[in-house]
Amino acid sequence: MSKLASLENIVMEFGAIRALDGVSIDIKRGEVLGLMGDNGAGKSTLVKTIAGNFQPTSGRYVFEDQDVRFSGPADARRHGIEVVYQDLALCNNLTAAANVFLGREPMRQVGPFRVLDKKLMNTRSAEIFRELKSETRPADLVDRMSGGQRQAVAIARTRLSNSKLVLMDEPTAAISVRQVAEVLALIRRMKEQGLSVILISHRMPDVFDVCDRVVVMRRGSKVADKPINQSSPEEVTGLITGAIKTA
Amino acid sequence: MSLSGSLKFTLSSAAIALCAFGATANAADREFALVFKVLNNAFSPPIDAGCKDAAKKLGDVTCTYIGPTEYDEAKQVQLAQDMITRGVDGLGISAGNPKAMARILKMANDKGIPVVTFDTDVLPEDAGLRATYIGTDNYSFGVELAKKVLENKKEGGTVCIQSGAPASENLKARVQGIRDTLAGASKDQPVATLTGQNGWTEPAGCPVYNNDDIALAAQQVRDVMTNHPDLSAFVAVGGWAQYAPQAYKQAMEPLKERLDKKDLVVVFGDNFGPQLPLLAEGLSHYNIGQRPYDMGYETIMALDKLTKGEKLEPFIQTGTETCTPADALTTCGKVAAK
Amino acid sequence: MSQQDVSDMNVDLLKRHDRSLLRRLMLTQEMWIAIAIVVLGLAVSMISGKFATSGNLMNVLQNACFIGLMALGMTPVLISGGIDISVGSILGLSGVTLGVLLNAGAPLPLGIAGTLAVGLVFGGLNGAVITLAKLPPFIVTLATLSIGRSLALVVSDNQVFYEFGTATESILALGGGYTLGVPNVVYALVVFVIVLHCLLTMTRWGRYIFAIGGNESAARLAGISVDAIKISAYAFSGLMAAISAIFLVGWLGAVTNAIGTGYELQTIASTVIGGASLAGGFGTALGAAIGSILIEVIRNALLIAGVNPFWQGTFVGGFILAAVLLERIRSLRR
Repeated sequence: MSKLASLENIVMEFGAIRALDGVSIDIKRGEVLGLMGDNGAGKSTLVKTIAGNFQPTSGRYVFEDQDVRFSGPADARRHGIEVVYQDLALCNNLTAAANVFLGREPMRQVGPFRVLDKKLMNTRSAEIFRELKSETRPADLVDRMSGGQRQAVAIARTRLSNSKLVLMDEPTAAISVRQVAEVLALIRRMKEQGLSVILISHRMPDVFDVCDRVVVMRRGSKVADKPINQSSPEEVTGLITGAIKTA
Repeated sequence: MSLSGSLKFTLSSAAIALCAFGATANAADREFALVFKVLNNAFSPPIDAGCKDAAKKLGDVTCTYIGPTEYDEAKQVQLAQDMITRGVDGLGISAGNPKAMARILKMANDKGIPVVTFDTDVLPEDAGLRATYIGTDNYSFGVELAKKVLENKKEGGTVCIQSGAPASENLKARVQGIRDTLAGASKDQPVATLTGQNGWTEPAGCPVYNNDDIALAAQQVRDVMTNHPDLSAFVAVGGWAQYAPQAYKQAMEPLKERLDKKDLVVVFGDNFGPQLPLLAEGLSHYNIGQRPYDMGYETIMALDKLTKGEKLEPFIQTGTETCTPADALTTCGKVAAK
Repeated sequence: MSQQDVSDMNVDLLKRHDRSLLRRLMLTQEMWIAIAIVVLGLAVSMISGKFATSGNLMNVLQNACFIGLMALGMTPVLISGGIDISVGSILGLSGVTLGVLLNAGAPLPLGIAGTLAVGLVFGGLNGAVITLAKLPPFIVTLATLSIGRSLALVVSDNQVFYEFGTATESILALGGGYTLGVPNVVYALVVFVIVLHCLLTMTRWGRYIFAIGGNESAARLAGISVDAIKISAYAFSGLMAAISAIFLVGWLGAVTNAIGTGYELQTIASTVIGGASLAGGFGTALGAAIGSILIEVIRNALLIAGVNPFWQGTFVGGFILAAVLLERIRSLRR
């Protein structure tokens, strides 16, 4: 697997707090990476830095062989980095299709005016939902949807353009067992298509099911970075709590 | 400092600076303060003018004319209190809230400040707290309005009354004056609503109250005329609807025939600028105005007399002025009584 | 949000059935309010024949437009999760501006341009302070309510304007005139209902207004320039108040600086009755217009039915509660 991106010695400071203390990590193409750690370990901060929400205080961020410094999540999106947030970042008062295309709406010409191309958005969303094997209907309001359907909408966003890296923050935390299986199957499909996925999760079975590599964070530092088949749930648990220092 | 923090700081500094700038030093003359009910009202400028002219005439008097910009009884009480605390040589008050102002009058008495009321008096039981009342008797004002109706409609009929704020004591007195006069009753046996007394009834939906909203007043005139095409008389205790001259015209012009034959008699209170062209056109038959300029003028004169130890009559009537289409554009509103 | 552990694939499909367009139309808030208007009108007509005359109905429609135009302006502000209680003062200040400009001899187009500019700028400033200083909309517009009314007093110097120079005939014709038997301001309302409807449903701006009201942080994450759009919503509200002022001044034939006092409450009541939510995320152009018509029908109906006018406030308040309850019930049953 070739290298998609790498972070070298990333430090992230918020005032006096050092959320990331010199983290270095490689992201390979077509790789599913599990990111684990206790609350406050720095997982979310790391993901937000990769996604462009934060600019690192110091360190180097290389994406596709180029040094990058993203001005915001929209900028990172243009480079092919998509995020599925823990709270999904959906607008309950809009339809599924509207949420999928939020900020990237296709327009069509009606006389001298450019209007939203709702038909295209509905059609394309329906296609994506079919690919994701979800029953979500594009014209339904998100408000009325189950957890799994909302998840599908959030994930559908990542399929819109040429995404190369998808970051998912606790995607299986609040959904049913059947839906968890579907999300994991989806992650495998993404990998097959050559996408890289970083998965923040505290659910050990899921991580060991679908990830190629596991990275453990503790107190802002990376304490482990190894292929999943060279580790075990017990080892990872120990790394998270600090019983095992590094691995 | 964050942007929000520095913005708040700048705003509060500016506010403090403005307050300091607003306070001016007093002259060495006698200072008479007139506290009116509301500055944002057509009545206010003429009172102010009368006050200033009288002060100029006397020479050694300053007229300080104040009031809340919007009608606000509590604020007016505060302003009056401030004048007393500051110390003035004489105080004139138009009592927005009669009971609350009675307290103020007592305060002025305690501090030895001569005090009179103008335009709106305190209640009869508190009359002893002020040296005199200068203004219109609102009940008499209502009587005048009704008399003009009776002069033209001896047989009785239906009458719709329009007033402003239902709670206003001034306006209530005017409405009472109208009702009693039409009914042929006396002041000590007031009539609640006209239900046929002396041939007069108030149709359902009347009186209409516009709460000083001019657009609403105009809409009410339109609705009343639509709803009661055979109305005998329309009496407005104040000029609100005629402050929308275009809308008023649109409502009344279709009724010109009835107006010319005096099948419908229209009497309006107030005789200010925008109203006079309407009167001249015959879209109302009488406009009866008060004399706010005289009120301001006479208040200063009264306070002058008080500070010189002279006695005053208990009620200085500034009276009313009745205007007709004939004099609407000539002498109406331009003749001072004194 | 409930969890459906049982296979919700088929359950979903069973629960929802596609409603025909006609049925969906019948179930909208606007339709219910329209029905309420008709029912109220019928009830009054049984008491007096004066309500259902073309003259009275035109009057009612005309009266409703002044608030209706402002309710249209309020709608995007409410949808985006904000509120603007300074619209009454903007109406007053714009009206005074028009009076001053025309009285000084300006031609009508210049007077109108100046008035619209005042509304637009005042609204824009509302939006700017709210977004940039991050202050709550209620507080900011409460302050500008005061400032606007005070500025109206200052600019007018407490004078009443009823002489409009060379523009007198044209402003009176614009505001109080009729075209094809319908008051001009009604055409303005219809035009702006269509304009706002298109803006809200067909443009990116409209969609972003809804998104910001639904989940502002999600909108930001999607790359939407939230601040710019919020400012534009408030500017739109100011502009509509200025437009209403132009017609109102033309109809009245005179400007006092008190015009518009208290209108913000009627405006908000209209939008709420029409289905907008004060919490943001919902609202329609047609709803705002219909809500303002209902409130005016209530006022007119009470007068014609001969009901003691002191009861008017109770009726209006009752309808507001009923309308909001209706909205709540409808959203539960969906």
